[in-house]
Amino acid sequence: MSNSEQHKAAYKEEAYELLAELETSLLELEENSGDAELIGRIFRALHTIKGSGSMFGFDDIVEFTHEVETSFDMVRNGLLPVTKELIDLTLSSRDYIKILLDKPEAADKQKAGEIINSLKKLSPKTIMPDEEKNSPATLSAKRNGSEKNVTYRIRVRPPLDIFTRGINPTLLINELHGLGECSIVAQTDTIPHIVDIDPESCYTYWDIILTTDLGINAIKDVFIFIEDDCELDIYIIDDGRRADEESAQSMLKNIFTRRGYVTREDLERISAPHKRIGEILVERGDLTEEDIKKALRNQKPIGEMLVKAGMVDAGKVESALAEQQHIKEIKLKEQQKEQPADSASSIRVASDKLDSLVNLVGEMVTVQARLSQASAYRSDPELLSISEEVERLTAELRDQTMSIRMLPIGTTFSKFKRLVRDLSKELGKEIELTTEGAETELDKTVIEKLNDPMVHLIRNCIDHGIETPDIRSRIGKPVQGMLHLSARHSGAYVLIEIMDDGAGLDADAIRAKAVEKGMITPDAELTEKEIYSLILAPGFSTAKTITNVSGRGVGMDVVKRAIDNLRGSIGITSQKGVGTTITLKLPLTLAIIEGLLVKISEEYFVLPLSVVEECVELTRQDIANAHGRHLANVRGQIVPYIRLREQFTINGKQPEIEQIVIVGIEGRRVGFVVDNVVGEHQTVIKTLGRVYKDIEGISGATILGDGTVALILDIQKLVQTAEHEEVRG
Amino acid sequence: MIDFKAEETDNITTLTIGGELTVQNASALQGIFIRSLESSSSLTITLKDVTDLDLSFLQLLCSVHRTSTDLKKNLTLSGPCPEVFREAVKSAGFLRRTGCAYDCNKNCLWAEMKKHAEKEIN
Amino acid sequence: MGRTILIVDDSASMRQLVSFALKDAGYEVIAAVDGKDALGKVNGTKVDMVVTDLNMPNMDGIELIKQLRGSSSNRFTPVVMLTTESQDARKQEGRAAGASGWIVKPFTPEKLIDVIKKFVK
Repeated sequence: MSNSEQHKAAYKEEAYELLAELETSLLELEENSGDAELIGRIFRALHTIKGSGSMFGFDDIVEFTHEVETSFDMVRNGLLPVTKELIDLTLSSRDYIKILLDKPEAADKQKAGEIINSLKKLSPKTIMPDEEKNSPATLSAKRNGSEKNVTYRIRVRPPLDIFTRGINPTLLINELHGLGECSIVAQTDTIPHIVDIDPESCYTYWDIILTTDLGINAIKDVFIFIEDDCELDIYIIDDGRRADEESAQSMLKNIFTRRGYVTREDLERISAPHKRIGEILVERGDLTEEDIKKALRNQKPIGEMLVKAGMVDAGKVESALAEQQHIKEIKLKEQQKEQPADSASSIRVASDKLDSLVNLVGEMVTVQARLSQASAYRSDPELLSISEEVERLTAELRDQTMSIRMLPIGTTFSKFKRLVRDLSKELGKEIELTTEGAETELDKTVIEKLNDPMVHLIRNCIDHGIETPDIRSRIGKPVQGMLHLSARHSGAYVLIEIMDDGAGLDADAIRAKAVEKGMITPDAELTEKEIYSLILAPGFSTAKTITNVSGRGVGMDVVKRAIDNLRGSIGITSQKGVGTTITLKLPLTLAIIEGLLVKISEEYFVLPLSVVEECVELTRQDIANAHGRHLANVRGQIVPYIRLREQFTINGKQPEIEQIVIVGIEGRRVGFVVDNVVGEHQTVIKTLGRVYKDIEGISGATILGDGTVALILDIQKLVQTAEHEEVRG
Repeated sequence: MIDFKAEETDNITTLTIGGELTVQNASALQGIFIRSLESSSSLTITLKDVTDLDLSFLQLLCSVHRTSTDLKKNLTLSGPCPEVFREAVKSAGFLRRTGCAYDCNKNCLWAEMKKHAEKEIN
Repeated sequence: MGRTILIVDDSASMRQLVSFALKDAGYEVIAAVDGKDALGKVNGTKVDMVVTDLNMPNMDGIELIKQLRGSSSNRFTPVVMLTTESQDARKQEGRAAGASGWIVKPFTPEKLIDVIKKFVK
């Protein structure tokens, strides 16, 4: 990839982000039309898309966005109200910009023209062309970083009566600080004696050296209210062109000799530290070249000599010194600026780099476990302490690496806002989307793979779930339907709920359909939960007509498969006429879990530590007391358990005393009987090969320190399977 | 409102001034300075409980310094320097390296403050 | 310390707009409907700033400015006039009377505050 292509790619990436933000802000603005911050955000997004676009040759985008930006500038300045029409047009503009980014050749110029014309129609006819000129520029005026820094010398002498006009000159002078780097020196030489002074007059005048990129008009604007009767002289003394000290010196010399201030020989004679002061004073007209020559015959600091000789007021020297100092500092800053700025608060990294980092960290964790084991075996204190250090660092490294991959789900949520808006418009439904827990973080891979199933589920809700406004009002529901997305942590999982207040699932209809399709026998006894889960089966669709929205040839089975692939699960609860809630349960990350290592005969298994509540002993006596039923009495509470030995048909002798690992799952407690509990174990999940992919009850494998393989238990699946057997058997 | 107190001992007048040292009260302050300079050969000014201070007061100080130098009288600013005074001097660009043409005794008020300010930074 | 700003305008909506913007920026606001009302409300005390319309019944902005400049308490108070583009002559009159500055209508709250900040700390 060439350099410019890289820049373009970076711009595109940025532009897409800005477009997403633009969309979110616009939708928020629709609800909150007076929010100046939102308007500002929208304006800035447009401004950046335009501004940066021009840097990378996206001329079509620049041209188009400029028009939209102009409209929002008017909104920002309160000249254009926020209306539904404006938001619709801006959203269309946003889509058009996206097309320009995606496939410029597919862009429909005519459509762009229509959007722009409609936007222009919204704008007020006259927008005070002179406004800028006649009122003081705001300090927040466009500070354009691409403008060059120019250093000005300003001398301002306010009118004598400035105090009696209610103006505090100090405040005005200090306003210049807002424009840029600024040195201020007051000139006091015209202040009369105490008997002569009019204490209500302003005798002070100022010399100011200002470096700013805002231009001379910004300076004039500061003094706009006194411009008619103050003396304001502004000179450019450094136009920001970078030249090394040598050439700057020679440039100055040239200027002086050309203007006849001093002769070349004079300049050559002046020794370096004094020269500039003299030059500055001559240039300002505070001194003549004669004075300088006279002073130069002595060998003392020129400023001191000039003052002593009464040639020039000390204030003038002071301000010349300030100028010298100021320029020096500005030059220094320029140099520092040339060095790469460490302003970047974030960097972009290709995600495959991240993936390989995660893999490496995974390997590292495994090796570290081996190191711990080996050093424990050797009982060498020095090695032990090193191993502990490595363990700590590895844990930190693992957590950091994982957190890099974590993203808030909010970005996905906000994408759905647009989806809901467009879909409900298309279907003539009124739906309000609310979200909760947008800050919940999930592994990037999980978030990415979650998008399609979520879109499908939301489509279903809007299409099949929420009724049309007239039906809703007939059955006494609020006309506006409600769709609620929420995300929250639950142990090592994230629960995502999609809740609507629509018609709910019709269990009888689903059952009838399943019978008709031959999926179940007519006399099958199914719980409500099982009936609902039928809709997840391949080829099931309850909608009477196939609409453009949800009938795209894929059913809920696709959603189920996608969630299964993420090691998640789908839960459905519904009440007819009230609404449906679909809960997706997803692991935080696909790469690592904290586990509890257990042993049955010679086999090792790992249980996710996040669900483990406690471990208790199970004796022969306990088993006898339960009369053959898999129930344990834990401090008076009956806990059902699953014998993993039986579950996985492991041979070997059952020990006298077994262990029950009790896990909490969906609010219930279930035990898993094992021979031994080995201890906590950090587990890097290795996916099983394709052959073992569909084994229920196992979610992956991990390699232990000594090289043995331990299988990671899928607790939820195991419990579900056991429940099924219980029901059937 | 301004508060002031003038004490005279051994031909030295000590002026303690506070309150609003702004253009509102500039005329009154001018009167006080003139009277104090007339009555003694040395004038010490102490700022105390200053609530506000603006450019007009800085000009008055310059002016009284100028006159006292001409009259070969001593003028000193003594006591702790109130923050509001320091701030006014700084923002009006009055801090100096060297004194003005009238400052033959090298006791420019602002030059002293500049030295102090620089010392504080170091 | 809260700065007190007097807003003088005969238009209720303008008073409301300006008051809101000023309060939003943390200033105390006194509102008056015309010059006379303003002088009555000031009643010889000092305010930190005055924002006044020019065309008002009873006492217009120009006269108000003259009165304030003639008073002892508000001789040095910043006074900003609200003008429109077509009022250039009136603006000059106001300046002659001692106005500190002006704001051209229409303006945004931000612009107003920017101007206010030129005059009060």
